[in-house]
Amino acid sequence: MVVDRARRLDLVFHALAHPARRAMIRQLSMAGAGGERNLSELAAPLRMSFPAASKHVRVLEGARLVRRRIVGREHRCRLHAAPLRDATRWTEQFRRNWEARFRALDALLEEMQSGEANPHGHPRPQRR
Amino acid sequence: MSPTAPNGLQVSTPTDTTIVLTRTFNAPRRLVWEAMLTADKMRRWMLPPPGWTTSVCECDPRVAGSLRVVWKSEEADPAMTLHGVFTDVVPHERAVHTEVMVLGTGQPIGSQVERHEFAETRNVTTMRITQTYASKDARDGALASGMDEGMEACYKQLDALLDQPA
Repeated sequence: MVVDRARRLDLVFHALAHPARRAMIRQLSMAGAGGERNLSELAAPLRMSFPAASKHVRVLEGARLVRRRIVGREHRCRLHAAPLRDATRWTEQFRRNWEARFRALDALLEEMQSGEANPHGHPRPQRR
Repeated sequence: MSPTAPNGLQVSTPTDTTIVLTRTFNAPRRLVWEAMLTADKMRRWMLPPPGWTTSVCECDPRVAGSLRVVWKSEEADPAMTLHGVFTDVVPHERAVHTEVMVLGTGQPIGSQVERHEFAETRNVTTMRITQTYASKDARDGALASGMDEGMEACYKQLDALLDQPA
Protein backbone atom coordinates (compact mmCIF):
# COMPACT_ATOMS: atom_id res chain seq x y z
CA MET A 1 0.00 0.00 0.00
CA VAL A 2 1.22 3.43 -0.88
CA VAL A 3 0.09 4.86 2.47
CA ASP A 4 2.24 2.36 4.38
CA ARG A 5 5.17 3.27 2.19
CA ALA A 6 4.46 6.94 2.78
CA ARG A 7 4.32 6.37 6.54
CA ARG A 8 7.64 4.53 6.46
CA LEU A 9 9.21 7.38 4.45
CA ASP A 10 7.81 9.80 7.00
CA LEU A 11 9.58 7.91 9.80
CA VAL A 12 12.82 7.90 7.80
CA PHE A 13 12.65 11.65 7.19
CA HIS A 14 11.88 12.28 10.84
CA ALA A 15 14.86 10.12 11.80
CA LEU A 16 17.14 11.97 9.38
CA ALA A 17 15.96 15.39 10.51
CA HIS A 18 18.14 15.37 13.64
CA PRO A 19 21.89 16.10 13.27
CA ALA A 20 22.83 13.62 16.04
CA ARG A 21 21.01 10.82 14.24
CA ARG A 22 22.63 11.75 10.93
CA ALA A 23 26.01 11.61 12.68
CA MET A 24 25.15 8.15 14.00
CA ILE A 25 24.20 6.93 10.54
CA ARG A 26 27.45 8.31 9.19
CA GLN A 27 29.43 6.46 11.88
CA LEU A 28 27.58 3.23 11.22
CA SER A 29 28.06 3.57 7.47
CA MET A 30 31.82 3.72 8.07
CA ALA A 31 31.64 0.42 9.95
CA GLY A 32 31.11 -1.28 6.57
CA ALA A 33 28.34 -3.63 5.49
CA GLY A 34 27.05 -5.53 8.51
CA GLY A 35 29.62 -3.81 10.74
CA GLU A 36 28.59 -2.98 14.28
CA ARG A 37 29.26 -0.15 16.72
CA ASN A 38 28.53 -0.14 20.42
CA LEU A 39 26.06 2.41 21.65
CA SER A 40 28.79 3.96 23.82
CA GLU A 41 30.99 4.34 20.71
CA LEU A 42 28.13 6.13 18.96
CA ALA A 43 27.49 8.36 21.96
CA ALA A 44 31.11 9.40 22.63
CA PRO A 45 31.79 11.74 19.67
CA LEU A 46 28.39 13.36 20.24
CA ARG A 47 29.20 13.94 23.93
CA MET A 48 25.96 12.34 24.84
CA SER A 49 24.85 10.28 27.79
CA PHE A 50 24.06 6.63 27.20
CA PRO A 51 20.28 7.16 27.73
CA ALA A 52 20.19 10.17 25.36
CA ALA A 53 22.03 8.21 22.66
CA SER A 54 19.77 5.23 23.27
CA LYS A 55 16.73 7.42 22.66
CA HIS A 56 18.10 8.50 19.28
CA VAL A 57 18.90 4.91 18.37
CA ARG A 58 15.30 4.02 19.24
CA VAL A 59 14.08 6.58 16.68
CA LEU A 60 16.45 5.09 14.09
CA GLU A 61 15.16 1.60 14.95
CA GLY A 62 11.59 2.81 14.52
CA ALA A 63 12.47 3.96 11.01
CA ARG A 64 14.13 0.55 10.43
CA LEU A 65 17.42 2.28 9.72
CA VAL A 66 19.30 0.65 12.58
CA ARG A 67 19.17 -2.76 14.18
CA ARG A 68 20.31 -3.21 17.76
CA ARG A 69 21.20 -6.42 19.54
CA ILE A 70 22.08 -6.63 23.17
CA VAL A 71 25.00 -8.84 24.09
CA GLY A 72 25.69 -8.85 27.80
CA ARG A 73 25.95 -5.17 28.72
CA GLU A 74 26.70 -4.04 25.19
CA HIS A 75 24.17 -2.58 22.79
CA ARG A 76 25.54 -3.43 19.36
CA CYS A 77 24.08 -1.37 16.50
CA ARG A 78 24.33 -1.81 12.78
CA LEU A 79 22.98 0.09 9.81
CA HIS A 80 20.14 -1.25 7.76
CA ALA A 81 20.42 0.83 4.61
CA ALA A 82 17.38 -0.31 2.61
CA PRO A 83 14.96 2.41 3.85
CA LEU A 84 17.56 5.04 2.92
CA ARG A 85 17.51 3.77 -0.62
CA ASP A 86 13.77 4.49 -0.81
CA ALA A 87 14.23 7.87 0.82
CA THR A 88 17.04 8.98 -1.49
CA ARG A 89 15.08 7.90 -4.52
CA TRP A 90 12.09 9.89 -3.32
CA THR A 91 14.03 13.03 -2.37
CA GLU A 92 16.10 13.03 -5.54
CA GLN A 93 12.88 12.83 -7.49
CA PHE A 94 11.53 15.75 -5.48
CA ARG A 95 14.60 17.95 -6.05
CA ARG A 96 14.78 17.21 -9.75
CA ASN A 97 11.11 17.97 -9.79
CA TRP A 98 11.68 21.55 -8.54
CA GLU A 99 14.20 22.15 -11.30
CA ALA A 100 11.93 20.60 -13.91
CA ARG A 101 9.04 22.74 -12.66
CA PHE A 102 10.93 25.97 -13.07
CA ARG A 103 12.06 24.97 -16.54
CA ALA A 104 8.45 24.21 -17.41
CA LEU A 105 7.56 27.64 -16.04
CA ASP A 106 10.23 29.23 -18.29
CA ALA A 107 8.64 27.58 -21.32
CA LEU A 108 5.15 28.62 -20.28
CA LEU A 109 6.25 32.24 -19.79
CA GLU A 110 7.86 32.30 -23.22
CA GLU A 111 4.63 31.02 -24.71
CA MET A 112 2.54 33.58 -22.78
CA GLN A 113 4.78 36.40 -24.00
CA SER A 114 4.62 35.38 -27.63
CA GLY A 115 0.85 34.96 -27.22
CA GLU A 116 0.62 38.58 -26.05
CA ALA A 117 2.87 39.86 -28.82
CA ASN A 118 0.80 38.04 -31.42
CA PRO A 119 -2.66 37.36 -30.00
CA HIS A 120 -4.11 35.92 -33.21
CA GLY A 121 -2.38 32.64 -33.38
CA HIS A 122 0.90 31.94 -35.10
CA PRO A 123 3.91 31.84 -32.80
CA ARG A 124 6.18 34.83 -33.01
CA PRO A 125 9.07 34.19 -35.42
CA GLN A 126 12.42 33.70 -33.68
CA ARG A 127 14.27 36.94 -34.05
CA ARG A 128 16.28 37.23 -30.87
CA MET B 1 16.69 31.13 -27.36
CA SER B 2 17.45 34.03 -25.10
CA PRO B 3 21.17 34.81 -24.71
CA THR B 4 20.74 35.53 -20.99
CA ALA B 5 22.77 33.51 -18.47
CA PRO B 6 20.99 30.54 -16.89
CA ASN B 7 18.43 31.64 -14.33
CA GLY B 8 19.50 28.95 -11.87
CA LEU B 9 17.68 28.28 -8.68
CA GLN B 10 19.46 29.52 -5.55
CA VAL B 11 18.76 28.15 -2.12
CA SER B 12 19.71 29.77 1.18
CA THR B 13 18.84 29.46 4.87
CA PRO B 14 19.01 32.94 6.43
CA THR B 15 17.45 31.84 9.74
CA ASP B 16 16.93 28.56 11.63
CA THR B 17 13.36 28.14 10.43
CA THR B 18 13.47 29.43 6.85
CA ILE B 19 14.47 28.32 3.38
CA VAL B 20 14.74 30.96 0.66
CA LEU B 21 14.52 29.99 -3.01
CA THR B 22 15.45 32.62 -5.59
CA ARG B 23 14.97 32.25 -9.31
CA THR B 24 14.77 34.74 -12.18
CA PHE B 25 12.54 34.53 -15.22
CA ASN B 26 12.81 36.32 -18.56
CA ALA B 27 9.34 37.82 -18.34
CA PRO B 28 7.57 40.78 -16.72
CA ARG B 29 6.34 40.09 -13.21
CA ARG B 30 2.70 40.45 -14.23
CA LEU B 31 3.12 37.31 -16.34
CA VAL B 32 5.17 35.47 -13.73
CA TRP B 33 2.40 36.21 -11.22
CA GLU B 34 -0.22 34.92 -13.62
CA ALA B 35 1.78 31.76 -14.34
CA MET B 36 2.46 31.08 -10.65
CA LEU B 37 -0.99 31.83 -9.27
CA THR B 38 -3.63 31.04 -11.90
CA ALA B 39 -5.00 27.50 -11.72
CA ASP B 40 -4.98 26.68 -15.45
CA LYS B 41 -1.40 28.00 -15.74
CA MET B 42 -0.25 26.22 -12.55
CA ARG B 43 -1.29 22.89 -14.01
CA ARG B 44 1.21 23.47 -16.79
CA TRP B 45 4.32 23.76 -14.59
CA MET B 46 3.55 22.28 -11.14
CA LEU B 47 4.49 18.91 -12.53
CA PRO B 48 3.96 15.95 -10.24
CA PRO B 49 6.55 13.18 -9.86
CA PRO B 50 6.61 10.68 -12.76
CA GLY B 51 3.51 8.51 -12.83
CA TRP B 52 1.34 11.03 -10.98
CA THR B 53 -1.29 13.33 -12.47
CA THR B 54 -2.88 16.52 -11.17
CA SER B 55 -6.51 15.81 -10.35
CA VAL B 56 -7.47 19.10 -8.67
CA CYS B 57 -5.88 22.55 -9.00
CA GLU B 58 -7.55 25.58 -7.45
CA CYS B 59 -5.98 28.92 -6.55
CA ASP B 60 -7.69 32.10 -5.42
CA PRO B 61 -4.96 34.65 -4.63
CA ARG B 62 -7.00 37.03 -2.49
CA VAL B 63 -6.81 37.44 1.28
CA ALA B 64 -8.73 34.43 2.75
CA GLY B 65 -8.79 32.81 -0.70
CA SER B 66 -7.64 29.21 -0.81
CA LEU B 67 -5.11 27.09 -2.63
CA ARG B 68 -5.62 23.39 -3.27
CA VAL B 69 -3.69 21.00 -5.46
CA VAL B 70 -4.28 17.25 -5.47
CA TRP B 71 -2.15 14.65 -7.25
CA LYS B 72 -3.12 11.07 -7.81
CA SER B 73 -1.24 7.97 -8.88
CA GLU B 74 -2.33 4.57 -10.08
CA GLU B 75 -1.93 3.27 -6.54
CA ALA B 76 -3.52 6.14 -4.64
CA ASP B 77 -6.08 8.87 -5.12
CA PRO B 78 -5.26 11.22 -3.52
CA ALA B 79 -1.52 10.47 -3.48
CA MET B 80 -0.60 13.91 -2.19
CA THR B 81 -2.61 17.04 -1.37
CA LEU B 82 -1.34 20.55 -0.87
CA HIS B 83 -3.69 23.07 0.63
CA GLY B 84 -3.45 26.53 2.09
CA VAL B 85 -5.04 29.94 2.61
CA PHE B 86 -3.77 33.32 1.42
CA THR B 87 -3.09 35.73 4.27
CA ASP B 88 -1.48 38.71 2.49
CA VAL B 89 -1.77 39.64 -1.18
CA VAL B 90 -0.54 42.61 -3.21
CA PRO B 91 -1.23 41.68 -6.84
CA HIS B 92 1.92 41.22 -8.96
CA GLU B 93 4.10 42.05 -5.94
CA ARG B 94 3.67 39.55 -3.16
CA ALA B 95 1.48 36.72 -1.99
CA VAL B 96 1.69 34.95 1.34
CA HIS B 97 -0.14 31.71 2.03
CA THR B 98 -0.14 28.86 4.51
CA GLU B 99 0.63 25.43 3.11
CA VAL B 100 0.02 21.93 4.40
CA MET B 101 1.20 18.84 2.53
CA VAL B 102 -0.66 15.62 3.15
CA LEU B 103 0.38 12.20 1.88
CA GLY B 104 -2.33 9.73 0.93
CA THR B 105 -5.46 10.12 2.98
CA GLY B 106 -4.10 11.88 5.98
CA GLN B 107 -0.42 11.72 6.84
CA PRO B 108 0.68 15.39 7.01
CA ILE B 109 4.33 15.61 5.96
CA GLY B 110 4.81 19.28 6.60
CA SER B 111 3.28 22.67 7.02
CA GLN B 112 4.80 26.03 6.33
CA VAL B 113 4.13 29.62 5.38
CA GLU B 114 5.14 30.51 1.81
CA ARG B 115 5.89 34.08 0.93
CA HIS B 116 6.32 34.87 -2.77
CA GLU B 117 7.85 38.18 -3.78
CA PHE B 118 8.30 39.42 -7.32
CA ALA B 119 10.66 42.22 -8.40
CA GLU B 120 11.04 43.29 -11.99
CA THR B 121 13.93 44.95 -13.82
CA ARG B 122 13.62 45.45 -17.57
CA ASN B 123 11.34 42.51 -18.23
CA VAL B 124 13.34 40.19 -15.99
CA THR B 125 11.54 39.09 -12.85
CA THR B 126 13.29 37.90 -9.72
CA MET B 127 11.05 35.65 -7.71
CA ARG B 128 11.90 35.01 -4.09
CA ILE B 129 10.07 32.31 -2.17
CA THR B 130 10.55 32.31 1.60
CA GLN B 131 9.34 29.15 3.31
CA THR B 132 8.93 29.48 7.07
CA TYR B 133 8.61 26.30 9.12
CA ALA B 134 7.25 25.77 12.62
CA SER B 135 10.62 24.70 14.04
CA LYS B 136 14.25 24.19 13.15
CA ASP B 137 13.66 20.42 13.11
CA ALA B 138 10.87 20.82 10.57
CA ARG B 139 13.03 23.11 8.44
CA ASP B 140 15.95 20.68 8.62
CA GLY B 141 13.61 17.89 7.62
CA ALA B 142 12.57 19.84 4.53
CA LEU B 143 16.21 20.51 3.71
CA ALA B 144 17.00 16.83 4.11
CA SER B 145 14.63 16.17 1.25
CA GLY B 146 17.35 16.63 -1.32
CA MET B 147 18.82 20.08 -0.90
CA ASP B 148 21.18 19.82 2.05
CA GLU B 149 24.84 19.27 1.22
CA GLY B 150 25.53 17.63 4.56
CA MET B 151 23.02 14.94 3.74
CA GLU B 152 24.40 14.70 0.24
CA ALA B 153 27.86 13.94 1.63
CA CYS B 154 26.33 11.42 3.99
CA TYR B 155 24.50 9.72 1.15
CA LYS B 156 27.68 9.59 -0.90
CA GLN B 157 29.42 7.69 1.86
CA LEU B 158 26.52 5.32 1.88
CA ASP B 159 26.57 4.73 -1.87
CA ALA B 160 29.02 1.86 -1.61
CA LEU B 161 26.87 0.19 1.00
CA LEU B 162 23.67 0.77 -0.93
CA ASP B 163 25.13 -0.88 -4.00
CA GLN B 164 25.59 -4.10 -2.12
CA PRO B 165 22.66 -6.47 -1.84
CA ALA B 166 20.70 -5.87 1.35
